[in-house]
Amino acid sequence: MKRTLLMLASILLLAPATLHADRNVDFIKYRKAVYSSMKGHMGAVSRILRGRLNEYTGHIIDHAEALQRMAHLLPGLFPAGTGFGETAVKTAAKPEVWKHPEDFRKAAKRLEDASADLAETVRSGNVKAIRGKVGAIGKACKGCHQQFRRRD
Amino acid sequence: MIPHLFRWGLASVALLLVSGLHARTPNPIAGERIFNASGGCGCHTAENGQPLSGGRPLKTPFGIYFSSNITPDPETGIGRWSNLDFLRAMREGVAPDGSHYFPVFPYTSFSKMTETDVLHLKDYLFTQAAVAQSNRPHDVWFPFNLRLSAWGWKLVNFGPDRLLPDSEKSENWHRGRYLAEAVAHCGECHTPRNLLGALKPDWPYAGSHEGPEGELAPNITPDAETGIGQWSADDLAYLLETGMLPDGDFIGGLMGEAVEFYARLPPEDREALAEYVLSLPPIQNQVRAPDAPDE
Repeated sequence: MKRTLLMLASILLLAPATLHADRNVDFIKYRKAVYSSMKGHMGAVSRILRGRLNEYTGHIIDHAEALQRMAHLLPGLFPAGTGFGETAVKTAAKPEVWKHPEDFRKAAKRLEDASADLAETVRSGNVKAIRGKVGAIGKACKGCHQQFRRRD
Repeated sequence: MIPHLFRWGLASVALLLVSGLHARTPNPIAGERIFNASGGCGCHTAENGQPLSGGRPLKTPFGIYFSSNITPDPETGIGRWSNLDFLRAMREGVAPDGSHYFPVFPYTSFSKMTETDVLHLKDYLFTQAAVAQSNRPHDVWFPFNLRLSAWGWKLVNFGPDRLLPDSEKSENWHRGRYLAEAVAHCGECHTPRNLLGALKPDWPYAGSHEGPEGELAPNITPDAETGIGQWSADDLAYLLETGMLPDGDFIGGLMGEAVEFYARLPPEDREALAEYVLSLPPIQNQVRAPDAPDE
């Protein structure tokens, strides 16, 4: 009887923690989906340019604006408890994301600004400048990955 | 093995004597192209450190090696090195004081470079800012901490290896092979190593779990499932220019740094690299877990 009570008590005590861990797993999955969506938009932009699909140049505005909005979300996507080894799922986020939140916020802002710049460039009809602006987005992605993402 | 190496050493000294090293004109511009193709000698630049001044930790299964200062500083860098010193270091893995380098310094690849290119690279390095920074001792386990072991390693694992022309292949392919094998030293990270840390000869570019800095290096053979067999040459050349993978993702890590320099190459060099790498035999080797992180 005593043992059953003890077990019940420990289940009740541990349950919120377990639920919370599940929530973090779900959150990491959501975060990965956001990153996947950005990858998709970037891939789409590069396919328009590399495929010389000139009549679809206007679509770049939509992709760039989507990237801009996603980039705006990034600093809020790394709550405590969602790092590597803290849940049952893998994450590529390095501990540096949490150690240097201000640097991470700046890195996300670079992507946000570069994406806005690309959308504006296409809107203004400055076709020649597009490749350079896409390159700037690439630099923002790459720079952040270098500092904050690990590969394994 | 010993006579083999000895003979080669003699041959290379003789070659240097007749090639008239003193009579050449420095060409740092040609050297810059080699420098960029090598990935900017990036291992010699530490995070937040002065370019090329060394001190970058290189994690290996044998411990941590620290790269050396290759700026032209006379006291702590390579400012006092002769052309012969530089050639022996790059192509034979021998330091000016006669000691042997550990193969973490990829002289094993650079040995395939032409003498002209090696010296052009030196010309370029000597135009860079000199930084006074002493080299940091390596932090590796016994017996790999002994320089003598570097010599022993070399006897077993290193031999002169020349790139012979292949009459069936294009000039572009030959250029790509030279850049990949000798200069960009792709295999040093992308080819898995054996227990002694030597590249496995039957697994060229098949990917490694123990890439630089403890990170994974993907399979870049054209295997359709586990490598880059679905990529076009344009996809690969584009990656080398921008760092973007065909799916829109961006690479990071040491390769991300190397791409900064590949981007400065003439486009034909990136195209040549792409043609060569995609011509390799496909090897099935799953390096990345299917559920690899995507963020």
